[in-house]
Amino acid sequence: MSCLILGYVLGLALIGGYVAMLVRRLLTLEAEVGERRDPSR
Amino acid sequence: MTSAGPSPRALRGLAVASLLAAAVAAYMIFVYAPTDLLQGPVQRIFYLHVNAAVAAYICFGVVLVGSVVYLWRGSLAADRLARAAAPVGLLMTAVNISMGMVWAKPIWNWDPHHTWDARFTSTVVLGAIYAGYLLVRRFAEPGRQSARLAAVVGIFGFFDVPVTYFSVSWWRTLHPGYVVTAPGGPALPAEMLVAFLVTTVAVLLITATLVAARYRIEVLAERRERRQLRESLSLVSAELL
Repeated sequence: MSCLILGYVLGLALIGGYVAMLVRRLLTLEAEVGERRDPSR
Repeated sequence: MTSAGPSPRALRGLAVASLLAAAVAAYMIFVYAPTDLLQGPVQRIFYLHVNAAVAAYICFGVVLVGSVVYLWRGSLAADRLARAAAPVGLLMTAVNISMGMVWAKPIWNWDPHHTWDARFTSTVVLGAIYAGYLLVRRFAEPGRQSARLAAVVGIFGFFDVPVTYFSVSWWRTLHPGYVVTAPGGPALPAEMLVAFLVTTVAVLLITATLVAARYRIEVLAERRERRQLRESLSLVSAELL
């Protein structure tokens, strides 16, 4: 059971990390080219 | 998706569909599918492990097609699509390898330092090829030169996909043979096959969403570059006048 949990945690962490990076990049670029207001401002 | 990329609305729709499909797939994997009598719960790794490989092969197929179309027609959209699919394919390869290693340890008592496995080695090589593809894109002379070089790597790199797929029949090593595509039909109970197919749909939806998001990032980055170039040109002309 612990291997099953470790396997899915690893797999989902990889996908989740990549999704987080993509979303951040997308929001930053949209703010930079003026398609969306920069949420940090 | 047009050459300008998916609209934010389409991207949001894809993301919501992916989340819903992932929730259904999680139910199928952990609740609906029966526990394997021989391997126990760890066999449930199979559903994401295999589908990550399927998604990676499809992404590398997209890189191949995009690269061929770019070299043949000079289509910037095709180059952008190849550029968007490569990192997602690499991500899915990493998911496939890491989950496979965790699964192999209790079942084969596997130590990659001591036991050679053809499927594992060819998959690692596949990952290395596409990591190389991304390095070419990152470090080669920007513009056409980098796109052409990367397209050549994208075309020749694809040759490792069939090698990886057929490795279980060409070399008899530890990795099991074909399960879903076994010659006499799927070697799985019906419930496991249904759970597998539902997970396939979910993983392919997630992959499509990631490629679409990556494509939009490429479009926006190009737009930003053009804008910066225009601004610096207008600054130079203002200085001259």
